[in-house]
Amino acid sequence: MIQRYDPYGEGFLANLSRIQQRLAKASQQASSGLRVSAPSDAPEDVTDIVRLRSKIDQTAQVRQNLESVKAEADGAEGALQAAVKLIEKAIVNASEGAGSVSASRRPALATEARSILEQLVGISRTTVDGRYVFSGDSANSPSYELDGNSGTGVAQLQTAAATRLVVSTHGSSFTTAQTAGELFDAREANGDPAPDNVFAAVNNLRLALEQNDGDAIAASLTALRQAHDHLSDGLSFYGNLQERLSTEITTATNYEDQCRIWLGEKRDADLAAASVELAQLQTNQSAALTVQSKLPWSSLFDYLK
Amino acid sequence: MSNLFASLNTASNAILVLQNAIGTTQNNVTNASTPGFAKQRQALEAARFDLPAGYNGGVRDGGLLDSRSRLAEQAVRTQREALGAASQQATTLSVMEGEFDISGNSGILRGMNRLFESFSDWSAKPGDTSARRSVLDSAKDLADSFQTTAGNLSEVSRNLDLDVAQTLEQINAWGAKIQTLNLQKQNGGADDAGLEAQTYAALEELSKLVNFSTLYQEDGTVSVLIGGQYPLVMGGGSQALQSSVSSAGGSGSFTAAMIRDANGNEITGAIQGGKLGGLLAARNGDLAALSGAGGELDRLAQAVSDRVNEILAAGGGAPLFVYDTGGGAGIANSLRVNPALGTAGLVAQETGPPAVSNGICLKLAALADSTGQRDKIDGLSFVEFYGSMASGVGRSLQEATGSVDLHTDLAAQATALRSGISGVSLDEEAVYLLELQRAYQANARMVTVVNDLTQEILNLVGA
Repeated sequence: MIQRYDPYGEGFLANLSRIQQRLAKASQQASSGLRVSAPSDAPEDVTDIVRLRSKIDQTAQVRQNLESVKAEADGAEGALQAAVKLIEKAIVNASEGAGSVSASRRPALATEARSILEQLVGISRTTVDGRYVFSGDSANSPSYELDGNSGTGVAQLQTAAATRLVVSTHGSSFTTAQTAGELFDAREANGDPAPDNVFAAVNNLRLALEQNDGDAIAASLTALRQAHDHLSDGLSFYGNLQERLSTEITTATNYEDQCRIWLGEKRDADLAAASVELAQLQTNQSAALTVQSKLPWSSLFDYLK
Repeated sequence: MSNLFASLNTASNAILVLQNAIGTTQNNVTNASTPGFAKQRQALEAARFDLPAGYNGGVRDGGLLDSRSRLAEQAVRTQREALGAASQQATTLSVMEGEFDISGNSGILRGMNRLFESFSDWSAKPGDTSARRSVLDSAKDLADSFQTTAGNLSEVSRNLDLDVAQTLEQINAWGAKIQTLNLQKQNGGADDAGLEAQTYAALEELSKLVNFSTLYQEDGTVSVLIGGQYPLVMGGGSQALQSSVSSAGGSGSFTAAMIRDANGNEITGAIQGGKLGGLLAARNGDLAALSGAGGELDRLAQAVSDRVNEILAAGGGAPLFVYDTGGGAGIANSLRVNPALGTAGLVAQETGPPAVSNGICLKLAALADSTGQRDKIDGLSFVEFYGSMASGVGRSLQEATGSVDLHTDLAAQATALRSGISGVSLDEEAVYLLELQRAYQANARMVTVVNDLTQEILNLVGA
């Protein structure tokens, strides 16, 4: 067969190549699930995609931070609950000691008061994930230890303030803790123990009971009630902190989910449409090849004798 | 007065002319697929017929008619030039696009996200050694990402230089080929259709490599002017092009590629088409914008590292990042973590007032999406600026790909049009051959008839 020259062959090849490129693209979308996997797929969406990707990572980290701080807050709140109960126990003991009791009872009450003080010091050294939650910015070391020679019954090991802030999803920041000094060792401006100093109140009760001093026991009862109110304020702080952290964690979770939805809208492929296009392009390619193969390739020379 | 012998002579001359015409048709059929060939026709002219005056008429050879259209040829070359440039740009940009991962799973974007995450994690545990170590590790990852990207783009630049050199060799080789053909034409081959076909085929191949204009001389030779100005071939002489790489100045590692003519004149700006035009546009345009001195990559590396260092310094801390400012290494290519900085040297506290134990960490973490002007480049956050870099490469690639599609179609159209004007149609040649065959048969029959008549007369005379 003497083939005739086809001047339109170059155009056919170009169109076939175009179909094959679109086939490859549709196949890649269907297999990866992504409409935009490279910048040239949709240049106008690239900046939004990278920003959302970064936002998702950033929000996830913020949520982790909030959850970490909440764990500390939960631990602190639980410890303070126990501290409040101890003070209530001390108040009961002080009330008993201030009343008509046998001579042998007050030493026993003094022993209980000492035990309460020891437990309060232990509470001031509460840790969560290796961090002393009441040690302020020096979270790697405790703030107090027992000291029988001290007027408050404890020795202060460090005085770091609690200045650490935590940031929410939308950028607002708030404090995350109170120190053991603020909660258990309130002081006047001149450094003397304040009337609601928890350590001082319990220690004074212990001393009064040991000395069998009824007036001192009565005085410590007043201080213990003030200390109870002070600890309740601290408990309220941590309760509010827990609530706020829960709210912020929920906000972060919701925002992270929303960012993922937005990212999906920008980046993900419509799998149904990609599958349909893939089938259509395969049909187009097959049709183009079939038609091209049926074109007459003979010339008049084939018929000349 | 006419006689039988005159008629015999006329018929035999016609047979010779028809033989030439058949030979021309045979040549067309033989060269139907020869690159650059344009079909030819033997012109048939009627001779003067005036028997009383002694003109016996007949047909004479009017010479070869060439169907080549220089306009159609130029149209094809123009589209080849545009297609060559767009194809090369698309190829180069496709490689560059691979350096910009927008998924966040690798590269600079992942490095930045991880660094900002490490700052945020550190803010929750400002005194924690492992959190500080994570900051240093993330900073190293980011610096490595910048170095890797800068290094890969430098590799792209080196490969483009090699491509430029190879393309110039090809251009000079085609120039030498055209020169050789010109010399053959000057030595008596001016009417040689074969030389003409080779010349146009060479010009079309050259148009895929570089843009040029042609000047046709009276002696049949063709002169080639690169960019319409700078001679590559002038008659029987050729002037080779050469390339060079010059420093763009500053501290960038990028250098511009230049093309010079045989006299040393720089002609880079005149080269806009063909593969060479695409190489230069990618090399000196797209790549320079990214990785040249003051390019976007260096700007991003410098902005991120300087701002981080500035925030750390506000807390009395040592810089986290260092880079070379001289020696041509480029900022992105030399960015690294301060080797003198350990975990203990990372300052978390903002002294205030009020003092905040994790204030520095929080400011560093806020760089991920800061609204402060000092934390932006051209009004964009660092992540958005990276996105704009990737978007720019993507847009250029999309445009180049579109241009490839467009000029592919236009080149196909121009080729089809040229084929319609000067291409060989076997059907057409077959029909013409039939005509010539019939004419040949008729003249052969005329010879036979005249011969019989002559023999009859001779018989009469002999009787």
